[in-house]
Formats: sequence, C-alpha cells, structure tokens
Amino acid sequence: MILAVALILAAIIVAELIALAGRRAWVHWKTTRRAPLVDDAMTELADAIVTGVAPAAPVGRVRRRAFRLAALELFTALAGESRARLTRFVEELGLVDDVVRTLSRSRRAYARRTAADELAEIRSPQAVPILTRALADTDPMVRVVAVRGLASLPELSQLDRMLEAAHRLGRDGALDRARATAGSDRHVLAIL
Amino acid sequence: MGRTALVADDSLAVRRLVSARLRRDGYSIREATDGHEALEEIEREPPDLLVLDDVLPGLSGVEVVEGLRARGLGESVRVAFLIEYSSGLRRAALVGLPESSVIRKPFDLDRFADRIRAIATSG
Repeated sequence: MILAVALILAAIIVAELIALAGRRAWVHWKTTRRAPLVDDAMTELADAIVTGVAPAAPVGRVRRRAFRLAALELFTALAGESRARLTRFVEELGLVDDVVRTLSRSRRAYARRTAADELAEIRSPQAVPILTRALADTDPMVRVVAVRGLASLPELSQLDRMLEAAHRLGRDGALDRARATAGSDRHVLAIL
Repeated sequence: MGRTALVADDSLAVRRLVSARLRRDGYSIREATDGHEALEEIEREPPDLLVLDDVLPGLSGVEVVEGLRARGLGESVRVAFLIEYSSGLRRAALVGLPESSVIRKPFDLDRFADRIRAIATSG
C-alpha cells in the first residue's frame, strides 16, 4: 500500500517536472522566435514616426502581436506629438481592436489585466468605451488599470464612474483622504 | 564624409527612435548597448556626436564621458546626455556637461532633433 502511494506520488512529481520543463522550453522558443520580429517592427514603427507615413499593416497574428509589443516599448520612450503619432498608427493598423477584443472577451483575469494595461499605455480615445465597461469588471486589478487608463486620456467624461470604481476599491478611506488634500478630481485620480 | 553618431543606450526602443531621427538628419549611426561597448566604439572610431544614456550597464554615462576625456576626445565629440530623473542632471553637472547637453526622457522626436542641432553646433 505504502509502496503504491509512493509510486503514484513519484509519478505525479515526474509528470509535473516534465510539464514544467516543456513549458519553459515552449516559452523560450516563443521568445527567441518573437524577438527578431519585435526588433523589425520597432524599426518600422520608429521610421514611421520620423517620416509621418504609417507602415504597412502587419499580416497574421504573430506579426500583429510583434507590432503591438514593439509599440508598447516605444510608447515608454516617447512624449508629445511623436507619442500621439504612434497612437494614431496603432489605431490605423487595427492593433487597438486586438486588445479591445481581449479585454471584452477573455475569461482569464490576467489576460484582461494585461489588455487594460496595454490600452492605458496606448492612450487611444477608441478605448474609452471598453475601459469604461472595465470599471465594472469582476477583477479588482482590471478596474484599477481601467481607472488609470481613463485618467491618462485628455477627456474625463467618465470621471464620476472612475471615482465610483476607485471608491469601491478603497476600503480604508483612501478616496476621502485624497479628496480632502487634492485640488481637483484629476489630482484625486493621481493620488489614488 | 558624412557626420557620424554613436547611440549608447540599453533600451532598444530609445536606440531605434534616436537612430531613425538622426539618420533623417544625415548621420550615419552606430549603436552600443552598454558603457564598455560605447568606449570600445569611441576608441575604434570617434563619432562626431555621442548620444549617451545616463544609466548604462557596465560603465555609467558619466564614466563614459570621463573615458572620452581621458582619451583626449572631450572637445571633438559632442555629447547629448539622456536622463530620466532629475538626479541625472546632477551627475551631468559633476562631469561639467552643461544643462543644454542634457535631454530628458521620454522625449518628442522633433524637439529632440532641435536639441541635437543645438548641441552639434555649440562651440
């Protein structure tokens, strides 16, 4: 009996280790395959920002993803009109739609968080409706990121709903304290 | 012969953006991803312009500037010093780089190009 249990446990451990090694190998393969594509996409997008001419739309899921990852990297280095130009390219290439689809359809909270985070970084006005809907997401982190995403956009038409979502997140009176010290509702969001 | 620029930054995004912008202004570009590589590139062939990140793996931006001067290239190589935090401004001042040589990240590429033109033509 003891021997049987030990054998079963050993088999489970071996199976787990094989699965772990397989997953690591798969992630490594995916990353090394993707890196040159992201590098090329970054070069194309950087040239496009400089020239003002949008690059050709990437074809296929892998290339679209490479373009999206490249754009997300470039956003962190850009400000002003150059950043706005990249946002326009990302919209024109249909990359915002890809993220919106994930945020609205995925059942995995982690995927929705990532999608909301990407939309917050892209700062596209096209994302306002979906980020507004995400304020009522079942996952609290998705709601936090949705507030951040909407706060990063120039127009604050959803301010009341953002503050309401922030209020539901704050269990220790953080919103009230922020309101007491901030000069405006935008400052409230910044403090939160 | 055209002007040459060395872009030393560990961020691929910054290298791609800066290189694309400078290429448009007629520079031929070389890139380095850390401080040691930057100094090796400078030794191999001194560029006209060095776009240098404040925080680099290996040697810091300040150490690269010191290395540049130790090789007697402090006058001939123009330096644009990229910083992300205001502490970078103090580090730039420590090695005697004027504030006009400092460019804050993130940046708008057109403004970046204006600043580079000013740095390249400064006496």
